Amino acid sequence: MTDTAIKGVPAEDDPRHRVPLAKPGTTLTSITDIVAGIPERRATPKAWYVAFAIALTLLGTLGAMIAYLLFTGVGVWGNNNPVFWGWPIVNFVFWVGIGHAGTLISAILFLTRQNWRTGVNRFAEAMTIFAVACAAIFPGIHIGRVWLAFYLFPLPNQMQMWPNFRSPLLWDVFAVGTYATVSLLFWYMGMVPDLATLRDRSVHKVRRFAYGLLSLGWTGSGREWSRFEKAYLILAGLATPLVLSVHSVVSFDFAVSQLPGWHTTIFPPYFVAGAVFSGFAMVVSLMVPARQFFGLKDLITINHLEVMNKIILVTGTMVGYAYAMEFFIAWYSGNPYERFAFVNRAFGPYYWAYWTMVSCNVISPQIFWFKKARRSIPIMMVVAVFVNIGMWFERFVITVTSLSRDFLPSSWGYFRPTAIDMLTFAGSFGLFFTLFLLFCRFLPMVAMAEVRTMVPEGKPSHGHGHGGSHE
Amino acid sequence: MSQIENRPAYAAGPNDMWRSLGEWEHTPEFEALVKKEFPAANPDLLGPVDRRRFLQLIGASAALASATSCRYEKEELRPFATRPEGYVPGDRRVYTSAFERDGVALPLHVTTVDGRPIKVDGNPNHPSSGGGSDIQAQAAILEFYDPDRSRGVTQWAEGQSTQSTWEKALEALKGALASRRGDGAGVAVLSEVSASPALASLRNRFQAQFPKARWVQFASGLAAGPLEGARLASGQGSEARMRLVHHLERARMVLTLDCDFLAQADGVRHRADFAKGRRPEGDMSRLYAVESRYTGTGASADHRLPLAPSRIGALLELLEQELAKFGMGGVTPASSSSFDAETQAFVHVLADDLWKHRGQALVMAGDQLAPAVHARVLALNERLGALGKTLDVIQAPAELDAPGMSGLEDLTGAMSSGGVEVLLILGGNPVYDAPGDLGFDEALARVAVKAHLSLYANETSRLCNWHLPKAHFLESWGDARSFDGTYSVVQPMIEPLHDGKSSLELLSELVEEKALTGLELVRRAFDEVAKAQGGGDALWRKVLHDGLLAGSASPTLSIGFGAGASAKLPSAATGIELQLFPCPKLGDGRYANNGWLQELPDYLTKVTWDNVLLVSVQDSREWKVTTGDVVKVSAHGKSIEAPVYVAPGHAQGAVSLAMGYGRTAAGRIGGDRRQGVDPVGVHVAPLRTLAQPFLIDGVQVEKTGKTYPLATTQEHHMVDPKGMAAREERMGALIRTGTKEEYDATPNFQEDRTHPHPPLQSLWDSHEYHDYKWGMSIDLSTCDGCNACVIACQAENNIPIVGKDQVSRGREMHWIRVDAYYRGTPEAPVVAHQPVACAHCENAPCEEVCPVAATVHSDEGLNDMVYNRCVGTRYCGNNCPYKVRRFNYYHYPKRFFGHEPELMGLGNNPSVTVRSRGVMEKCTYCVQRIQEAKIDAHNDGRRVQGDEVQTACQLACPPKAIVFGDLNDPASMVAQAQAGPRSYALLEELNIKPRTQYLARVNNPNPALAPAATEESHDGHGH
Repeated sequence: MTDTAIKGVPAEDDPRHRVPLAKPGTTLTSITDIVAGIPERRATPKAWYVAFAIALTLLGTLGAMIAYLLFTGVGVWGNNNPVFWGWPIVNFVFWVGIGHAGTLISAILFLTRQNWRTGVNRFAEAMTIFAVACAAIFPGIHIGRVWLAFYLFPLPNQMQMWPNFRSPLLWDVFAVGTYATVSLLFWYMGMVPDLATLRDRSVHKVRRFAYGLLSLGWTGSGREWSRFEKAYLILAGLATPLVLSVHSVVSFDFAVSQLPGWHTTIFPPYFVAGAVFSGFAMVVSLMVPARQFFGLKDLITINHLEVMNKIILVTGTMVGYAYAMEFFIAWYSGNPYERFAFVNRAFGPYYWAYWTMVSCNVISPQIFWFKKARRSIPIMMVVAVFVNIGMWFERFVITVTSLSRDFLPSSWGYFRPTAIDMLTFAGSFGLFFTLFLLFCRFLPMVAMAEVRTMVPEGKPSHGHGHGGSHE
Repeated sequence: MSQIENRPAYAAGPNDMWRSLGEWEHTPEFEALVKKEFPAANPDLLGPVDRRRFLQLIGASAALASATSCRYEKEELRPFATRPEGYVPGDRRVYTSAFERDGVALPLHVTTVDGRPIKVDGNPNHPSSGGGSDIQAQAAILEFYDPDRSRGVTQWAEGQSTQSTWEKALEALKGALASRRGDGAGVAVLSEVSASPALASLRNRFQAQFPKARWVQFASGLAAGPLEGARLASGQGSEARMRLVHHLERARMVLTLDCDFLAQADGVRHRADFAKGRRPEGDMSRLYAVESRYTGTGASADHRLPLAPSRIGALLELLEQELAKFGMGGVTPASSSSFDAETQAFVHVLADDLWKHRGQALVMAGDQLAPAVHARVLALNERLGALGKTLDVIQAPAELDAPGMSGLEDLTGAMSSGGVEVLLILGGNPVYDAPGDLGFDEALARVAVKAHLSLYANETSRLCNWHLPKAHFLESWGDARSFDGTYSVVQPMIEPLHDGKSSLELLSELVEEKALTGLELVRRAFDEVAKAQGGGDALWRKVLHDGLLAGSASPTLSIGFGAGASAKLPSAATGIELQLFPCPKLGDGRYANNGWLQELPDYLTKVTWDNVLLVSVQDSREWKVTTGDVVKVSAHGKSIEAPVYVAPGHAQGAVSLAMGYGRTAAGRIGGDRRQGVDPVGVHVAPLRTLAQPFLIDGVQVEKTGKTYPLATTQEHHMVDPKGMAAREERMGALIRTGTKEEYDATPNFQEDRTHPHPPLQSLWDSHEYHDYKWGMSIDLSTCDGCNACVIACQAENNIPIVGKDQVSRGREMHWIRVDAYYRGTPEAPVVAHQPVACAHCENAPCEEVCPVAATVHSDEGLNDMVYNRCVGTRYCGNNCPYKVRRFNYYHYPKRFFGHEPELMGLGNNPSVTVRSRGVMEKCTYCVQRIQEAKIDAHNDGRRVQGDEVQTACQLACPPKAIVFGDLNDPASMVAQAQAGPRSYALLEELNIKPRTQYLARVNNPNPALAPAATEESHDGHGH
């Protein structure tokens, strides 16, 4: 290691030096104090109550909309013939996509030893779980006879009827179900040592009991740590293919059908890239206010955010490539239906949705080529929100425009959402934020145990240069 | 014991069975008990159907079964103690009957199950039907069970009704008539147009008792032109009764002048006959259509010229001049024509064709045209040798008055001058459909005693003192004559649901000493009519069985029409012309409360639940109006507001609007002000006058700045240029079209119409069918887009209506739809129809993607829909390339008839599940009919014949464009059709292997006219 500066490169960009992952001066104790201090705070901040009230109202709206739907019928939405799938499926794919960042950060970045993940992984994983919970609602309520949803599961029954294993929707049930289960386990298991910390610091009886229950008797012995690390690694190994599989399978819902605009082999990688893209954008848009608000700036530094913005840039560009490639293949295939589907997307009655999507997803992240922009809180917030909007529109464009004009011009139609569609979607944010605010208030937002390894005295290789590992 | 000894004369004969002493004794108490126990003669369906009512209905079926097969001449309906021989509960029984509209009967076969009529079809033994039927006949079932039909006698005063009874009503009427008997001054009857001999016989009795009484027949949609023209051309007086019978099957060259012969009276026969000349395997006829609005006839034509109605006369003159050049006599040379060169060339070619085909040519003029045009056309037909060949003149049935407005005009005059004190209105709805300038309702107010016999308490009922519920034709005896005068009997299928009486029964009450039953009245008329054939019980039974009295057709007249050649044509109209035409769906408005018809997409515009002002593309540009704009249409000081529909191919300078909408007292479907249901569509009466009931000139059209949402099932107008281009590009492959010349040269010309595609391969092994293999073939050459299949399917398969708001969301439920595509320029396009239903693909995309296996392939190749299993993911609908799957977004059966599900349920086909909300549905190939045929075949120990199963759409189709059957039977019609060179699979490049295939459309244009459309189809697809 040499300290000679490279000419023309600022010190913080010197690739030979790792950027510190916690603000210098952070100690093992201060990490615990910062993170555990949030749930331990006696007086809940007023702002939290305001936010929670809004979120609960939205959640109530969701409940009301679902109840109305169940009592009235799927007709309360704008779905029609030919657009049999409308906003609910768009919302489902949107939320599943958002649910990608968490597991990617915790599993893939863990396996690839991207230590910067430690600051954000808990947060992102929580977001994943909540997003998947939101996503899971939609296919459930989307079907015509919700009370028979169990037909989708391979349950032994007197009819000796199995589901149709050829149907991508069934694969979806398994893919999303597995992903939700593994993500939840991964998140919870990773949280056990931190829950034990909270338990140990609790003064209130109820809190001690609750955290005690959740921390499964964790004592922090070396044996426990050793098993914990092994289990975490195994789960990370299990979760990694799931990150890729779940959205690939979701994309099969479209790709396996024969609808022009859906029937495309590019869909699996394109969907995964899009999912990571939207997931990271959502993490950024949640994390920026959260770190501000809960005083986590020392642990979630601007460097963390910059790294995530880089990923947004990369995945956004991948998505842009996919958009272009779809057009190229549509033209190159010589299939007139396919060609029309794409011309119609960009220049047909839904052109506004298409160009909203392109502007938000492909153009807006390009600003992250500039370091200043990557490190600017206002810019990254705007871009992250744009990306979320754009990714919702991407699913809308894929789902609705393809369906609205397929093979026979006689059956073409135009989709118009209803107020119920909009309120249901808004309500899903209520569920998301309700869970998220509860998480912020009662659970450790940052993986204390992992971040501790990032400060010099917490590293196993303390005093022996940079880098570090968990083993 | 004493009672037994004292019992009256034998009620039961010594050999009769008896169940109790009471019965044996036959005491009055027992009679009363029987009456109380089985009040079958007066069923009351106001409440839900209970077990007893259900048994009564079963009983009714059994009793009627016997009544109609005439083993027992009894009308009383009682549950049977033992099952009559041959009767199987739940089994279908088919009876003949007839459906009369405006004096013309469509002979029917009515299917009943357990005494409930559930399906109406044409009578295949009758030339007026040949088995086909039309939308209104098919929809009669819904009308029959309509909960809005009136339930009893009501008295009306100032728009309010009070319940009353038949006894009181008859007492009042008889009282009013009693003092006038023998004289009849101040008495009038306004009757629907009917050719019923039984009604005519009662009319004679009535007029004998009330010699000075007026009796007027009125139907709003009937025009006087044809008869007056025939009188003019034949030089006969106003007493002459003539009717023109056109024989399209004998014509090789047909010209229609604003004449939609496919939708006329006898349209079912016309459709069938015309189709006989449209199959390219044989000789093809050629049809030239000159018309204002784009009619179904125009869509079937080989050449079509859009022309405003008032210019038809000028075109006819030009045609005569051209024909004179070829040597036709009797034409006064005229000065040069006002038509452009293109039209002149058209007429020249047309004249050539007509002249070359003398003796096989036929010119038809629209009913609404002026008498002089009809006279000239008849004279032309005579010179073209049509008389006796393609055109017969027959004696019009004596029961019919001459059509037109004059009778009603006289009556209204008498009413307003106080000359009518007692008015009996039999059916109809003159308050609604009389011309606006007649002032019928004001005149009606001056009549003291007025009673209206009607299915519904409609606009007219509400201005009368008495509303009397009329028995539907499915629940009462009657008789009728088909277009050629052949006599048919209208048979009841069930006791009247709502205490109704037929016109016959009501009149009998008024004119007979002792009222006769409907059966007695009809039988009396039959004996009269059938005198020539010998009459008698055996013949009566035969007529009931066959559905017609052979040999009762009107005699053919030999009349010359030479005088017509010099009839003076009316001068062309000034300003914009408005053409009012009876709606092909709702007629003159009488079917406005029929949801099936309201929701049926128009054959061309695909508009549902509205009438629209059809405006030509040229005029719409000039007036800067577009589809959905509301315009004010004014004529002679009156105006209405109507939504515009820009209709490609409509004649410039003319606009058209359908009659039959804007009802204010139709019911919960068609509009009812009292119940807060807005009228559907726009009422045309304000613009109609006695002088111009159909064609109104000097019309102004002004923009109002308002817009109005229209619910169409195929959005022609909302498509952007890119979409239009794609549609244009695809059409050639979707509806493969060629000319007769092409077909003769290369019968499989259709194979060139599709996209080149790589060899088709499948991931799966194909299914094997060892037993049956069902398939369908639809001939696009003969399909004329009449929609009968759509309603037949709706009736057969319990398909609900969804309402205008749902149609505008694209949620209509029709299992079969008729796509219509334009080709060519918007000013003069060609139209092609294509019925599309589930094609039961071999590699069905829907089956692949259903996660719960709710749609699966049967071992006979049906793509079965398992409603019980369906959870409603709708994935199948997405993946269906034909988009024929229909989803129950709501519980639709409840939407309009939820208040009386029991009553509506009676009209359902019991073999077909009523679907709940949340499940997908689609065409099943009438699987219930397949199953019934298989059961029958199994009982007989044989195989189902290849053509034995007939689907509902196939049966209803007048031109027999749809055939269905077993593809494993090479002799079956469908196997042969699919083996033919014209057969192709829609979207074959997807390798879905649909079981329904289409036969390419072949037109027969005159090469001299360089048909734009056929050129189009040639290069529709560059390869």
